[in-house]
Amino acid sequence: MAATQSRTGRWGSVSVNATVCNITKWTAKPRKEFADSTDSGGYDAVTTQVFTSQKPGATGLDGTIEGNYDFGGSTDSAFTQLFLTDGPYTVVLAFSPTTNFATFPADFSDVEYSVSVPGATMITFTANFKSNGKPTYV
Amino acid sequence: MSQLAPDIIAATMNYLRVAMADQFNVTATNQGVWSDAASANTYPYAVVQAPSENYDLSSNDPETGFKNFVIADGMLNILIYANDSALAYSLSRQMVIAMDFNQSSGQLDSDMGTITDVIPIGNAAMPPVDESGTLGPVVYRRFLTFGYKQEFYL
Repeated sequence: MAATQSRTGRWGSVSVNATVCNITKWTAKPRKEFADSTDSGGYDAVTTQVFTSQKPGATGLDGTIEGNYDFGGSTDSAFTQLFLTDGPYTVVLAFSPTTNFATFPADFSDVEYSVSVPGATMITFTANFKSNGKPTYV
Repeated sequence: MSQLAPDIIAATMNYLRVAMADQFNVTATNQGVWSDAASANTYPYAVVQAPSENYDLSSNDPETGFKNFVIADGMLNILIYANDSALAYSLSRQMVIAMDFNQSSGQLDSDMGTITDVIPIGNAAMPPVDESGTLGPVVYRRFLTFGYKQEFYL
């Protein structure tokens, strides 16, 4: 029998300042800046071509947190406050109850709320975050 | 290590016969949960079916051979038969709760593969069946739909 290698996102979670949010989705994109670099090491004498290379720069983590707006809760409704009040806030993104993806200080760069009358769909929020400091990846 | 069931139908039957033993009056002579309605002999009972699977492929370690790793996106149907409408509804909802697993529990794993998730999709009432032919409907049915993801190798 095959060893389990993949997972669904059903058990994922997010906490902000140690408060667990009720989410429907999170995304995260670790990024690193690079500066183009060209030196003799990139020269190939056989083909006489110069190949591109780059030097690493600053790194960070961007992403989004989505969920249904919780009128009885605190954290979901508080994303507006998290946006209005400067952080950083400690964010934990988890793949499952036993496996985190990353823990990091973050600022919320924008929050979008969606209210749709046709179809009576759920009122949702999408908060975009940007790391502020060093993320710890698991 | 316990022996695995041959497939997800058998694994689900084995699991529900324990998890819902009281609700389906499971005894040595009445198993309560079946893969075939013809095997049932008393109400209420449940029938497990796995009507469809779709496959997504990904690569595997080439050193183990050029075989694909497969995630089956499957559908699991469970029909509940009871001679009381409210009981059928209640059993159906209890079964939705009973079928909520921790993703790594392994309870529905079988010789066919590893189950990574089972999610509830739907719960519908089916038209009652008039078994007596004279006194009106006596058998009430609920039709539960679950989705599952199962991993295996080609």
